This record gives sequence, structure tokens and C-alpha cells, in this order.
Amino acid sequence: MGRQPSKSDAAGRSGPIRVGLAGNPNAGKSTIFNNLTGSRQHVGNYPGVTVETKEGRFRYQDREIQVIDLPGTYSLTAYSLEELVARRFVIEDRPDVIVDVVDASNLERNLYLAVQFMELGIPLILAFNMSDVAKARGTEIDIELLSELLGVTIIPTVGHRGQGMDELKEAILATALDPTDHRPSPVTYGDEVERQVGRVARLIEDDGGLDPVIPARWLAVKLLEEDEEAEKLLAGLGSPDEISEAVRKAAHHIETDFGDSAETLIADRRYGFISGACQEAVKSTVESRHTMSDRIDSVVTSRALGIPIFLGIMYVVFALVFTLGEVPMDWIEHGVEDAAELVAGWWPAGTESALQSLLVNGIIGGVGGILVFLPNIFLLFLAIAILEDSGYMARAAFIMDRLMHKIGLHGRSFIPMLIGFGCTVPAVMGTRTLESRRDRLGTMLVLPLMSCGARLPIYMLFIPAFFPQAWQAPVLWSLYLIGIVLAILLAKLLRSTILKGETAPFVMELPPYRMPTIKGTLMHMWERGWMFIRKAGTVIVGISILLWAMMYYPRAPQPEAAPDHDHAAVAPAGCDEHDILLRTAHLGDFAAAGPGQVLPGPAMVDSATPLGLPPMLAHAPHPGEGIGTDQLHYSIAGRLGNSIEPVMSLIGFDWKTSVAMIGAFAAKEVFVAQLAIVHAIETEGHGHGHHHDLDDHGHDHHHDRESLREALQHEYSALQAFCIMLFSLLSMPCMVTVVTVWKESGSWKWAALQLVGLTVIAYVITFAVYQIGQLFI
Amino acid sequence: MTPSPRQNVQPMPLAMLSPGERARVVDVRGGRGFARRLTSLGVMPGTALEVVQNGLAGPLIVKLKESRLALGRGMSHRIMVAPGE
Repeated sequence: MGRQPSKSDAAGRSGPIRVGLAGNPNAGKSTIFNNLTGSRQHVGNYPGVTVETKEGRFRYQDREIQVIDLPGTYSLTAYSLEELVARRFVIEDRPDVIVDVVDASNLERNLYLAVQFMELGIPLILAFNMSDVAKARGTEIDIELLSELLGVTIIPTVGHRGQGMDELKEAILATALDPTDHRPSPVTYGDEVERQVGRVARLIEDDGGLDPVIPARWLAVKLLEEDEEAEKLLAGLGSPDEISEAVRKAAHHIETDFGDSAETLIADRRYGFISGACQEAVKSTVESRHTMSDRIDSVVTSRALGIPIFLGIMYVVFALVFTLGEVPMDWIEHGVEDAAELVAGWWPAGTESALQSLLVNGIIGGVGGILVFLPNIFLLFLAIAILEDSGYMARAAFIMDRLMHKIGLHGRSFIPMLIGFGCTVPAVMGTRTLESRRDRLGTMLVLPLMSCGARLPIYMLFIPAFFPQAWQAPVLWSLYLIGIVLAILLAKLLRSTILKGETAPFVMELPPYRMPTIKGTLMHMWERGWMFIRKAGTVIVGISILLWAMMYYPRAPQPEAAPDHDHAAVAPAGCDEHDILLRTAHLGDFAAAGPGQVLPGPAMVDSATPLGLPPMLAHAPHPGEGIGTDQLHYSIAGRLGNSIEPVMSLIGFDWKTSVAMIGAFAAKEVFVAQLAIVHAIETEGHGHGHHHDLDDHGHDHHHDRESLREALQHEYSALQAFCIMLFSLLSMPCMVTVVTVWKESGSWKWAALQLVGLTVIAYVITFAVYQIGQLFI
Repeated sequence: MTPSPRQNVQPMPLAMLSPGERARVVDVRGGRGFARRLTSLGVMPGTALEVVQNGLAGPLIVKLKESRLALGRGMSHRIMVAPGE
């Protein structure tokens, strides 16, 4: 086939040697990657697609070696995004060496991918991973013979013990420095197919238009397989019509001779080639029919126990994520608080400026809002990494597929939906495990309907205020249920309209159970967590600033601040209102800090603690906190609230709840803080003369809550309260979700659709509930 | 991989097999993407498999060589097999 020297042969170059790391999912690829590169790696996405690839480097014998971790694939057809990415990388980026990580205990299936690399004529090394498992199962592989038969260097490795890494590095270097000596043997497909392939390949060679790094023979095979990407390549040649005519003829020949399509036959011959090589080089004593894995599966995936075990594991995950997250969350909260105080302290009393408020309320507040979620997010990713690495995740998808299939989603959609009850953001990111884009978008779009933890403070404020004891639990339950039912209906609707199309066939490998390694799980957790910080962080700063500005501008006329109080002039819009805010909603222990102290770092949701709310709700400051009542009323947000009141009044909202709803875009629980700010007017007159109470720090959380509840009881009916909660649940997701959906879906349009769609649905439903409800009450 | 014994046996959908039954794949019906996917997982005409789990609804688990695959019910209706062996 005469491949010309690759443009990237490493021998004569001084740049890094480029290695593509490929392999089947579950073959232990990432362990090998981590072993090779250690901590010198970073996660990235291919432009335009959300397929993760990682890149790392290491030095070996004074050569810099760059390793690109390709997505795990079973094949190099154009079936999935992962396969496409892996294939394009090989063809377009032309690495110096491909290391294909092969699960040695499942050899034939894994070699199917290897054979496709061989067809591409790229210098190839096979890392026979888990060779210990293979041996334990009674499989004896004659590495030398197999290596000779395939024309490929084979290195036995045991990833989790780091065995074989030096040999692998050595092989990489040797192969990269002398690629012509490490060309794989050609794969043969049997005489008749060979004849047809040869005919087409000659035509392609004669054409001369093909990039010399791509073997003509490979293109010929791919064309016979009717591969869409290959057909695109063909279109770029000099005489595509002539060649495709020849392909048609060749395919016809094969079909009449064998009664099978060329594609089926070629696949069959590939397996034949593998099987032939394995028969010579692999001796399997017994097929281990009752491995440990099968025994675990007979319990874990059984009809009777599958679901209870699944629910139990999920419960443990949640408990882990939200209880362990509590402590670091506290630290972060205090850190953010300290930072806010520190920065605010740069401005001596009386010299506060918009810049101060921007830094403290806008930026620190906004970023703090994300940071405080990090422990939960990292713990969740840790749990997911353990579930995935152990092999349980595939079983969970199997167990839930039946249910999810009914609503037009994939078995794997279940995990993100469950996570959604905690926080929508990691849930959206969790949809990455879904292969089909339609399934993924469908899941992502309905996720905010899973009532997340941040909505709980809203429910917890309203429900005790408006419903008798006996009704409280049913009301709370009904809200969750409405969300779930709506998510199901909406998923069905989406999958039969804009996301119409076949559900991705549910075909999934159930990898053998494995003990996850500490290093591997931590690395998985870190990769995803870091990606979240990077992706969400940048945009959120922008939106926080915007929200801050909406509440800060235009400036309300300064109320005459009581000059005799040190801390009176600190808050941007006059501290009177600010104090009320603290008193009414009890924003943490700032008040106790006494005069001279500055802005409120602490979390609104501290107020939730007396009610026994989960610690996950604790939250750092948000844009807009620390901006007083008058200012809020006067600001763009306030005016917006006023202007949408006529529309909102039809669903039971007044201007105050409307303004609060705008603030809730920053994070759902901000709704409560905002309500506290606006209602301060009613409960505390104009807020003058209350500083003394603060100095006494006679704070009573419970009292603060109750006073807000009383204020609410005066103004709203139970029906309105229910409508407010319902609308909070169903309407626009918080900004972090919007940004995450935007990033994850690859287009702001999906995020916009979700934002607008959910808000419209929320409005229609709440409208119906309010209007019909009024007829009965 | 040996050629499949296509004659003599009446093919039936994989979905109809009970746990513990063994069969050989005769035909994969359905889209090309689906067939390719299965091929890359090692399921194609001629493949011998054994059903590990199969209830009245929902996906099933099959065993082939050293892999365990979960297949959606819809899929398992499109894989025609010849039982036996």
C-alpha cells in the first residue's frame, strides 16, 4: 500500500512526540493515561463538540512526549461523536504513535478497534491492559507471536498497579523514532473482497488527489462500507464519480457472491482476522462462566432486588454529598465573607462608591455564590466517579431504562434527573454520559423541573405561614410531584416534536465490577470539577455584575443616614434598609460584629437553619444583597418588578414578589432574601431607629422568620402563596443553570429556549391554578 | 469466527429467549447505525450468545465471549437469533 512518510514522523524533529491514546470504554485507558502523565494534564473539549479529551505530557529519555487521551470507542465508524472525534484526530492530526489500550481479558472484541487503526497504517502500540485478570481467568497470551502476527508492538500492562509503564514509554519512543519499522501488517479480508478492495484502491491511487497520509486501501474499504465520512473525502478527489461507480460495482459483486452486504462481510472478515490471530497466539483453558462479576450481577440487576439496591445506593450518595459538603461549605462561606469585608474595608466610612459595591456585592457576591456550591459539586463528581469506575453506573442505567424508555429518554438519563433534586448544575453536566444528542438535550431541558435544593427555602418560608400543620407535608410533596410529572410530560413532548427521532438504541456494555482506585477516582472528580469552575465561572461573573447593576442603578436619592452610627453610612444605599434586611431576614451573624463592620457576607440561607433545613442550602452572598429597600424599589430591577406587576398579578404576584422573582434568577433562594428586603418597608416602617437593636445583638432567628411570615400572611392568601411557590419551581432556572445549559448544549439557543419555555409554561400553569383557585376560595 | 448455520433453524427475536438460553445471531434488522454499533461490540451474524437476564419488559442482559451487554427491549426484537447450542 506504500504509505509515504508521514508529515509528522518524529525522528528528525525536536518538537514533542505526539501520542494518541485510544481504546474501548472500560479498558482502563484513563488509568494508563494518568500513569503516563501524572499530574501534567489538562482537560479540554474538541471545538464544537462536548466530547472530553485530555492532554498530558511526560519526559522520557530527554524527549518530551505529549499524550492526547481520545474518547473511549468501540470502533472507528462514524456512529457516535466519540468515534468521529477519535477518527478525525488520527486522520487529520496524524499523531506519531497510537497507543491502543486493550482489555486483555476481553481480547477479540477489543482488537476490533485495533484492527481499524492497523487499516489506517498508523504506527501502533497495543497496551494489553489487565493482563493479570486475563491470566487469572485462564487466558495465556503468546505476546511475541501475536505481536508478530499483527505487526504491532504489544506491551502487557496492569494499569492500576502501574506495571508495564516503562516498557510502554520505551515502545512509544522506539516507534516514534522509527515509524517505518513499526508499520502494522495489512489486514486481509479474503480473496474476493481483497480483489474488489484492490480495484477501488488502485483507482484512488491513480487519481492522486488523496492526502498522502491516508492509505488508498483504507479509503477503498471505507467506501465499500458506505461510510459517510469517507464519502466526503471522496468528494474532494479528482474523479469522484468514476471511483464511486467502481465502488458500487464492487459492492454489488460482493453482495451477489456472498449474499451479505459488503459492510457486514468486511466486519465479519475483520473479526475473522482477529480470531485467526488469536487462535494461534491465545490459549484459553476454560471460559470462566461464573466470574465474581456475574455473581454480583445476579443480585444487583435482578428484578426483585435491582431497584431497592439502586435506591439504597442513591440514598447513600445523597447523604454523602450533602452532609460531607457542609463543613467545607462553611469555610468557603466564611472565606467569601472575609473577602467581602476586607475589600469593603478599603473604603473608609463615608467614602463608599459604586466600585466598592460592584466589588463586594457584584463580583465577590456573585463568585461566592458559585464557590459555595463547589464542595457539593466535587463530592457529587466523586460519587459519580466511584459509581462509574466500579462499573455500577452501567447497571443503574440498565435498571432504570425500562422506566426512562417510557418517557422517551435513555436509561442513563435517570442519574442526572436524580442529581437534579440536589442541584441542577451538576445534573446538567451529568448528562454527558448520554451518547445521543437528542437524549441529552431532552434530559437537560427538563432538568430544572426536578425541584432543586435551592427552592426549599422558598417552600419552607411559605408553607408554615399559610398551611395548617396537617397540610404542610402534602403541599410540599405536591410541589415535587408537579415538577416530576411535568418533567415527564415535557420530555415526552420534546422527544416527539423538536427532538424527534429514534431514541439511541440502548446498547451498553456492562463492564466487570472493579475496585476503583483512589488516584483514578480523585482525578476524575478533579477533571470534572475544574471544568465546571472554568466554564461556569467566567460567564457568571458577567451576569452577577449585570444583576448587581440592575439593583444598584439608577441611584435612589440618598436617605439621610444617621450620622451618629459608625456603620450607618456603609451600605451603598443607606444602611437603614440594610439593617432591616439583616434583622428581618437575619443574614448571618454580621450584626453581632458590631459597629464599623461592613457588608453582609453571610448567607441568606442561614435563616433557613432554624427551620431545620439541610445545610446544602447555605449560601454565599448574592448580587443585590446589601442593597437597601429604597434603592431596590428605585432601581431597574425594582422598576421592572413594578412594570410587570399587571401581568404577574394575574398569577397572584404583586410588585414585591415580582422583584424578588427577578433577583431569584441569581439563585433561587435569593427570592427569600429579596422578599425580606422589600417587606421590610411594611414591617419596620421606614427603617429608622433600629440600629440599637443590632448593637444589642439581640438576635432571634426564629423571631426574624416569624416576622417575615406575619408580613406575608397579611398580604397574601394561601392560594397566592401556593402560586408563588409553584411559579418559583417551574419558571426560569437560575443563571448558573442557564449558563451551564448554554455551555453544555453548545448553543445559547437551547438555554434561551429552556428559559423562555419553562417561564411560559410556569405562567400558564400558575395562571390556571390561580384563576381557577379563586373561583373556589 | 465461524460462518453461521443459517439453514434449518427458525430464527426468532432475541427478546423471546429466556435466561440461560443460548443462541446464535442470524440477522440484525434495523438501521445501519444500529448494526454498526452492534458489530463494534461484537454482535453480528454468527455471534454466539447467552441470555443472562430477561423479564417481561425492559432491557435484557446477554453474554458473549467475555462481554456482558445490556440491550434495550426494542433492540432485542431486531436481533434475530437461532436458538440452540
